[in-house]
Amino acid sequence: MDRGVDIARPLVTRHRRRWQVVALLAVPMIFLGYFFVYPLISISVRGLTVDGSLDPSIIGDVLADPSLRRVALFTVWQAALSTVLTLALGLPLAWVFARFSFRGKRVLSALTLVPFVLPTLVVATAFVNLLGPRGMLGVDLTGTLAIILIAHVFYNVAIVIRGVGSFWSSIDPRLEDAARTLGASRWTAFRTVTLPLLTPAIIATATLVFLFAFTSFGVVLVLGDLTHTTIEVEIYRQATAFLRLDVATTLAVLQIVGIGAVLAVYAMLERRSGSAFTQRFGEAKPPATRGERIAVRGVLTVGAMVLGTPIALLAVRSLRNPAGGFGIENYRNLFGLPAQSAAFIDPTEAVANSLLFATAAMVVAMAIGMLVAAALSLASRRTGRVLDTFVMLPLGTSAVTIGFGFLVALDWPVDLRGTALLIPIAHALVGIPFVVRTSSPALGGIEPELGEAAATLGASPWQVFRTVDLPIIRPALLVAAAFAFAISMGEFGATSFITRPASPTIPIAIFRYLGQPGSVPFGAAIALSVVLMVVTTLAVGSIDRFGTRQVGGRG
Amino acid sequence: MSIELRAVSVDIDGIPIVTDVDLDAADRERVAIMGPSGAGKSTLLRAIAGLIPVASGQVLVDGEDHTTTPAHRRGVGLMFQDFALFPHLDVAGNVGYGLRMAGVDADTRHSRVSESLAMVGLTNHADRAIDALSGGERQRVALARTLAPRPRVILLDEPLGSLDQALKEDLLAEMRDIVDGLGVTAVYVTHDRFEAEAFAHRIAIMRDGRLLAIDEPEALWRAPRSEFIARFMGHRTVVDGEIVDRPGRVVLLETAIRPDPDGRIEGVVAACDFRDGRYRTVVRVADQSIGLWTDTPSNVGDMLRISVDDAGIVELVDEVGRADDASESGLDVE
Repeated sequence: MDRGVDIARPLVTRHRRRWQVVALLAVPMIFLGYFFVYPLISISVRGLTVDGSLDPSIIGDVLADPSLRRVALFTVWQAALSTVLTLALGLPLAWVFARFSFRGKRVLSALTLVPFVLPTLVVATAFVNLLGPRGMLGVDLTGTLAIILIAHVFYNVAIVIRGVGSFWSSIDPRLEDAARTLGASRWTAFRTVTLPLLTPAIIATATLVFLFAFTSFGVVLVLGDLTHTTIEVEIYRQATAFLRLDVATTLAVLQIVGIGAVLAVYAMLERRSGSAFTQRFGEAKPPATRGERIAVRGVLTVGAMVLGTPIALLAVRSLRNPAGGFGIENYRNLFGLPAQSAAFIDPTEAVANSLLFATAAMVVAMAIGMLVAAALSLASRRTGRVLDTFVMLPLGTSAVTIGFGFLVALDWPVDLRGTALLIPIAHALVGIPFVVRTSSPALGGIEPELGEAAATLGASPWQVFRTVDLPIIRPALLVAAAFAFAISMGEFGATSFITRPASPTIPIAIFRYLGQPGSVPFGAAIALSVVLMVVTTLAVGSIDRFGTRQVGGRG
Repeated sequence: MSIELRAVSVDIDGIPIVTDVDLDAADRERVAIMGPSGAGKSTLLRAIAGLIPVASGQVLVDGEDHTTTPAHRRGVGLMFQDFALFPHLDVAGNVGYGLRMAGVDADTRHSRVSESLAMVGLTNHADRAIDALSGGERQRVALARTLAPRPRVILLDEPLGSLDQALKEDLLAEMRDIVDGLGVTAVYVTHDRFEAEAFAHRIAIMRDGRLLAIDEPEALWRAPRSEFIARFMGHRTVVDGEIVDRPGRVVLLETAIRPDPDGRIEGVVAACDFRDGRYRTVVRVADQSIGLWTDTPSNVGDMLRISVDDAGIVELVDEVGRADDASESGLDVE
């Protein structure tokens, strides 16, 4: 009875459980199979085909081209540098957030999430505004390695703060105290106790940062130039500007291989860092010594400057009128931007489209993601691991590859490429891993005794789900929904391939305005970026509120 | 309401956890199931509650076969180890949950929740959050939640397991009085003899999934059938000896052992510790140990003569053949 809602009850025999898993996974597997696996395979086959036959050596040919080889090398090089710099800023911040309490900590920790969820195009706009041709800091760094690195650090430092910081705070501070009573100095205690425990988390996080920098698209497209560019951007250029689909598909294969390698490392490390770490949640104390106070203040100041300046100045710039002076001209222009060309995009239309797509993407991602999460909670450990890895793949796959894959593959059995339907589907693909990752631990974390207790108190399996499981996972579901929504609002890489002139999204509009001459479109890009920033921040703000309430509720 | 298990076996993933258990608890009776961890006690409880299916055998509640009745229609309450309180509901929400499932209307529910909370002494705690409660309060809420829907039988799975000792004794007495007052049949699982003795009319002893014995605490203490039961009931002196002409294994009841200058048994004092106003003395005889209480201390290494009343020598009838090779070093106690 009530198949699919009777979650992880020991009542369920193994055999019956297996069928439940299969039933739950049917729809997600069809969805992911057709919209993810099939396009990837199509693109790979096409990318490796020369004159009608498969020939993997074509990858070698592409790398033999000096300019493409330079792109590949630059991609790896900037990703490595970005990772090192992000760790350099992120680790001290992670330490401060993990180990100390201070005034405004909750607000600040919520704010550190903002850059991470900011859409790439907003980040790019913020840095054009800061260090572009009309930059507020007075230097033009566009087309240099430096501006790409700074933007990547800004963008990814939250991953380090959150990823390493949460792990760090779960390490019992008494371990270090114990080391100190055994004769270790502060630094030695850190080096010999905390650091070894932290290393897997640091490496796993670094891998993730590397991956994000490696596949960076929007930021590099806007801030880089023809030589300072990533494979991701090159795929886009080859496909859309030079119309070299053969080169683009081959580059996409190269990209998939590269990402696969990085992901394999990540999966290996994540499993290790995720291993049973059951110490109590370390309590943060206010900085006790003068040295600690200085360190905390210093780290927070640097962090606030790096993370805060681009956002603050973006907001300030949005209030500077195109003709000079301060005002809300840029925002007013969003409602009546003069059409400059045939490719003109109406900002209000872009906003309406984005809201519509984001809602649709959220619904799809939630439906698919929750089915997967329910299946995960029932699956055996081994099946669960395989399934989990598979579902995470869209997160690792580059957005450009997903969009490009849609374009290459989805003309069979019906040609979907002309419809705007593909946009929310692509966004949902990126959102599904987040939904699974947020709801699956919540679902798996419900102690089976609770459902059993409810059953002995007279609750049927459906009532158990409705009165126990659902209320407990509700905060996680809201978080998942907010994430899926925010991701869709800001998605640019995949959208840039499948966008239709009739249905532009906000990031597409921003990109178009940035490319147009004159201060009116530039002002519109800035204003629209601020709007997008506010929307995603609100979504994420709700995440942090629900998130902490959930944690607080477990006290 | 009575409960009866007939030859119940339970497998988990093909591994037998409970084998062939017969057990009954009469109306209003309190039975304790005692045994080391891994004996299958909790599994047996979960089978009675209907949370896991039995591989074979029958579960009868009040003479009716409920072997395949799902947990939520069995009317058997279960109080969980570590309580399993719902974290998303407050105290009243937890206690009223079973009534809500039974479709009791809000007003009646409210008054019955108050009643239940008053019964466990938590009158003013109705709208407290679960994580704001102390361990003892959680235990009381869990008891109130289990009893509120007025189950026919309640099962208690190590209900005091996670609490500290002083609290345990108070709560145990309180719990027994409440259960007694309501006249509910109860099955109580524990690994602690003192809890079992204090709570139950009868104690069942389990080991490796099987029920070894079930009887009143005193009967179990006075006539344990095996060394395992004897040790579980607190006996410390189990020795090999001659029983009439055959070798056997016996338990010496502590009440029957005393120091005696004319005693037939002589040994070396191996330990002597002050405890509860007397001295706990261990004497080594041949290579076996005999524990006894003495009023005066002895020095370790001294010789001590003791005697054992015949009435205090109890043969462990299930240990036949265990003492075959012990006859030379054996102790002539009879």
